[in-house]
Amino acid sequence: MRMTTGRRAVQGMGVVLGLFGVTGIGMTHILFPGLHCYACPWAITVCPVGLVQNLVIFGTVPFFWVGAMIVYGVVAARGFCGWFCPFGTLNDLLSFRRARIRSSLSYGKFLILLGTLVGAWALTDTIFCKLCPAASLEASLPYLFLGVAKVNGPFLIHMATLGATLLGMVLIARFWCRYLCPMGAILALFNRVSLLHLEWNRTECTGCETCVDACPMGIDPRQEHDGHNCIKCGACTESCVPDSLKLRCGPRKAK
Amino acid sequence: MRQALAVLLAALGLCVFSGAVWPQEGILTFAVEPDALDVSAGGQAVARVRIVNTTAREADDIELVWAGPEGFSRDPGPASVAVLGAFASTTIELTVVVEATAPQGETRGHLEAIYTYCIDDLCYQIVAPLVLTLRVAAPTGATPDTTSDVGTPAKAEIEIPGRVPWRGVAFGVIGLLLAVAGLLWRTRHRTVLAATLVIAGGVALGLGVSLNQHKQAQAVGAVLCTSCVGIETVQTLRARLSLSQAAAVEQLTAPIELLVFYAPWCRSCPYAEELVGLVAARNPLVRYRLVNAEAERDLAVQHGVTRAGRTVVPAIVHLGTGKVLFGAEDLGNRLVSLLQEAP
Repeated sequence: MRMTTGRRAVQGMGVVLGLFGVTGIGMTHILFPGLHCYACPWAITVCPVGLVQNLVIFGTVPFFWVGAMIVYGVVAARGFCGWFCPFGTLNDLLSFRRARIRSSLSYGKFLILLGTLVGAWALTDTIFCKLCPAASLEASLPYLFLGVAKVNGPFLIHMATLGATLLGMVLIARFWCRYLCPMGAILALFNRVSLLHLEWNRTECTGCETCVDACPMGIDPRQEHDGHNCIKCGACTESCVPDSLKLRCGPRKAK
Repeated sequence: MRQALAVLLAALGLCVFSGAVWPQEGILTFAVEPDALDVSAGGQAVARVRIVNTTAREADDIELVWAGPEGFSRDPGPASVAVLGAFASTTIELTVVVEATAPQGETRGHLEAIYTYCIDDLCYQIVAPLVLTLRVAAPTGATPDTTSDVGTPAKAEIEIPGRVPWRGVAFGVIGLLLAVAGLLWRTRHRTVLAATLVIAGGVALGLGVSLNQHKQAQAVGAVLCTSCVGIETVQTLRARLSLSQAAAVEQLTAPIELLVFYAPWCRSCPYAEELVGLVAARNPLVRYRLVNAEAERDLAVQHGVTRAGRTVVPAIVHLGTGKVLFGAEDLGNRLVSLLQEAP
């Protein structure tokens, strides 16, 4: 219970940082460690997925971007999805059904990341941004009320992707994070080495599988905590009665 | 899965490394019209060079230089373009002067298109060779022929002045470290792997900052391009005024000043710039100035081209009424309505 409370507080900080522009602070150089549209009127951070498309279009070798992603990856990797990302928080709040769909669909996020980069290169356009549900929620809708956007074709496409994603979130817990998020795909590359990590003590485990039922990502945390789907939210550690699963931050013990 | 990640990381390292050694490519394409120019010895003829910017960067100081053979030269008049914006195109007319002593028959004339462009603070000078076929006739009866429209695509040659060697070394170090990380991926040495990644990430961040990529990130975030995030569709067609719009513009009797805010990487901005240019060409009472929204943010704030702190492009400001048009959708009609409003 305490971990959930702490996680909600950190998620709240993620939302506050995401909307910190209401204070009048303009755009900074910081890349956001989550999916948060930089076109949002109140954003002060840069969306890594949006930026990398622009860098591909510009033909820039993205050293700053690569460096920032490695730093975020080594610190917490997909822990940012579970603890910080505002769009992940929305997924969390709408997670009513903890469906356990063990399928290769979760590789879809890597395909979307690849498609995003190839689309930017081939079409010299930020194609993903035009479909991104976070941009729908954080840019299209606010700019409609600010008199910049109109109800036109691109706006309706945004609303359609947002509606479909929200429906998916309601039907399957963490739907976007599981299957579609390209930001999650980038961070997932570092899940194996991140300082924030899960430890499983095989000898203490009774095999009750309450952790499997508790996992919002629908994985078996005992076997897949270093895999690309674990968001290190700690729901499994809270449910584990013999305390065989622990969320730790620091160097990993040699196996 | 782990093998795939290892291969992906090693490939990323290779890509970063290859970014250091891969020659810089040109960003403009050139087409010479006509492909064969009929001209008489002692006379002159006009060729057109169409230049298209295929990227989101600005090309600067584009100049056409005659590179031979002897007996031919370019007219000393201007054959240059100061700035060609992202995805924009232009045509330069070039007068080829043939001396009376020039050999008759078919000759291949050589031109060099020289221009520069910058990625962050690294600037490149590109020299693109162009070929023009000249059919030289006897001194009488030859007239310029500029009707053919077959172009000759040019292949860019590369010159990269001023690259600082330590950056090349840093490129290589990052690529090497990522390749090492890729090899360590499947092993148990996770602490070594994490340390390798941290060093690679630190070097990459430092190099990115030294290349001002952090400012590029900020600039991309600080300016809202309406067509880039799906607020409207991209306008890449050539701008044109309908007959009724042109007539309405011609009927304007009071002087009007406009500011056109753009960003170099905004794909709809050339459309807005071209449309305002057409309006100004129709009625000399309409004057305008192009404003780079990234460079002149204060001016954008002063004229209300911002929304909740974001500068929005493309935007057209009517200095008389203070009204602002955002975006490029249905811009012709909206612009005419804006011009018709009395201050």
